[in-house]
Amino acid sequence: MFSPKPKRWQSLTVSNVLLRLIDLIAPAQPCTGAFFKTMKTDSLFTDWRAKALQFEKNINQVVIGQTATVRNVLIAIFARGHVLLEGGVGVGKTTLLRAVAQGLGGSYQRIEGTIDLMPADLIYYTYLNHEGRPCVDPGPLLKEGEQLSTFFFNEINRARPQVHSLLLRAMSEGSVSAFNREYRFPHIQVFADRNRVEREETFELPAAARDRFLMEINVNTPADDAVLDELMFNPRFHDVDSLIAGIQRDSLKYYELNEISGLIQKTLEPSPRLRKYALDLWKASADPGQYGVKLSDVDMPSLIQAGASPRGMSYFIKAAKVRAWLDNRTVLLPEDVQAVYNVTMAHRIFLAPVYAYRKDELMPQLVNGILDAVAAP
Amino acid sequence: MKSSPFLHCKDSDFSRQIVKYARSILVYSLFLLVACSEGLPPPIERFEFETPKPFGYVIGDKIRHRIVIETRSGIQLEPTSLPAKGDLNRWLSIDQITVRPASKHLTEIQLTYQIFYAPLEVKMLTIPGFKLRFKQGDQAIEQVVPEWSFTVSPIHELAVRKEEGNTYRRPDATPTLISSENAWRLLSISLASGLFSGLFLAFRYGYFVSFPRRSFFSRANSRLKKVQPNELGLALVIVHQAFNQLNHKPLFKHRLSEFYRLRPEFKEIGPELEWFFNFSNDYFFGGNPSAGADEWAALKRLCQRCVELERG
Repeated sequence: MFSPKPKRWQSLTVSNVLLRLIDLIAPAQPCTGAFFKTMKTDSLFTDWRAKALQFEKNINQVVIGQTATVRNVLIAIFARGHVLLEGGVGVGKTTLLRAVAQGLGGSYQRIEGTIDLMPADLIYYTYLNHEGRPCVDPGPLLKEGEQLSTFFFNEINRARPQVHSLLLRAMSEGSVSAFNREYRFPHIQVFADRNRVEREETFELPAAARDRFLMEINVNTPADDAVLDELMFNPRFHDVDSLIAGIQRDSLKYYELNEISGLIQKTLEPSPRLRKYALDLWKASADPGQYGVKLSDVDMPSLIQAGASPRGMSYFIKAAKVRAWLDNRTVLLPEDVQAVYNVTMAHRIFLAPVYAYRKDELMPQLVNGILDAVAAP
Repeated sequence: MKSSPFLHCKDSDFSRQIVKYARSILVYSLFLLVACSEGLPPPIERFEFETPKPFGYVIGDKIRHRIVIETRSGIQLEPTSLPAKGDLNRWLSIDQITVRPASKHLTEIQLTYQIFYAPLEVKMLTIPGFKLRFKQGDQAIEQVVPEWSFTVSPIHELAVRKEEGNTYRRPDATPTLISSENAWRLLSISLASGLFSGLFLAFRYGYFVSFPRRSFFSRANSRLKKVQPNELGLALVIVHQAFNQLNHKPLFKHRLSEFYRLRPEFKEIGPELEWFFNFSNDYFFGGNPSAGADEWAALKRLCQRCVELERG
């Protein structure tokens, strides 16, 4: 059969050399250990933030007019969460993901969701080779092994729930079982796409699947005329391949993201006041009426079927911490929490069936209502 | 030669001559004194009898006479000399008599007569005169109040044309009232303006407890005064709450530009607001819950400025 191709690079930069030296010195000098540890963290943060912002800048040059979406994707990358993209046709979702995959390096795989897609299609595919013998080759999920960094599931709502189930494990555990062994994907980040226009022959994502996504990002057509003009008349944006090729590959090392993400989460410690604020926001997602949220033509006590899950809240705080870090702060502020509340929470709040058909109208009002109702301090 | 008679007179003649001259001088002196001296003032120094028009009266009308008398000192009016209140004759009565001493020597008497004469044609009537008596010691002094004549008119037609449906007595045409609509309108506008101004002033000063829109910072200021210096967190929360209420939703630093669009008057304290939110963020979320007197003073100043802006 086949096996993953272990491959790991280490960049030999000045900062990395310094960090290695600090690693050598710090354990040997307990008195100065804490100092060096702090220095190391600060240095790491500074380096990575510069890289992240440069990465964001590069993506914004390729996908113009989508700065908020790009910032959210960047947050998701450093929070190590999966992203569900929803938007119209041709607004740049795939271009955005290809650009992200190019910048991250590692391997990029993509699969189209169709109604006849089966879970096995992600694992392997069979064919007759030129000698007429049957062969089995790894599918898109296993093909790149541990180097798989970006997995794009196009039109995920066209796939059957069985496929969703397989994907759930890959997303939550970073592994799948096949051929009597377990395959691990320590760096995988799933980007799924859902077309907002067509709903025929689609399967709504189950609540458990949606909850595993860190964010649901709505990608809309840019409203700025200057951006639209560029997209229409500038030939640079007509050739997506050359556009993507312009992005520096490996500007962020995908295999180092888990480490820096963990460091961000450990270093940024929210204050008790912010914990209380985040807790109130969570509770308000389950019982908005109790916090004074009122929506027109809605019986507030019967609006919510289920609020956000504990896993969702941990994702929510992870994203908020990354936002604070990108803003060059080690302090988590309410504005960080508010900035990621919509993208991390809206897809986890489930409306009662009687209101579900008005979800597109009610959910933004509900999210804004919660943010406008809960004060901090 | 003739001798001078003077030289030839005797002593007795000379004395008689002197007496004669002295008597003449005395007579002349007395004459001059009498001529130069003023006589005693009369007991009634001034008498004025003021009456109204002597015509145009009808039955039931009232006629008021006013008498002003100034007397010498020590002279007093005898009240019994005044006519008695009530009917004087079959068509005349006195309704009211008022005697009022205007000063020490001046007395004012007001007499109100009412006539009940119903003439068939214009007729002259006379209010009879009377004598006012004054007393000075044992001496009695009198002052005549003259009679007063006037004409009284009938109140019915001379010839009633009953065949035309007229009655014997008819009231006057009802007078057309002057329209008070404009006055009422102006009065209403004035009252409404005054009321509105008062209410608006009270509103701006935050006196309406049940209408607290404009009293958020007034109340916050009052609450701040009761907060102890070691309760800075509570003080910050109080000011935050006032901003939230004014903004109708929680106000955060990153939403200040939106707040300025809603409340442009607060833009002038932009630097203070920036300081407040930075300090609050540092205090509550940055793990730096310490502050000194300067921060306290700045917070109180900010609240006071907000009260002034809130009042406009």
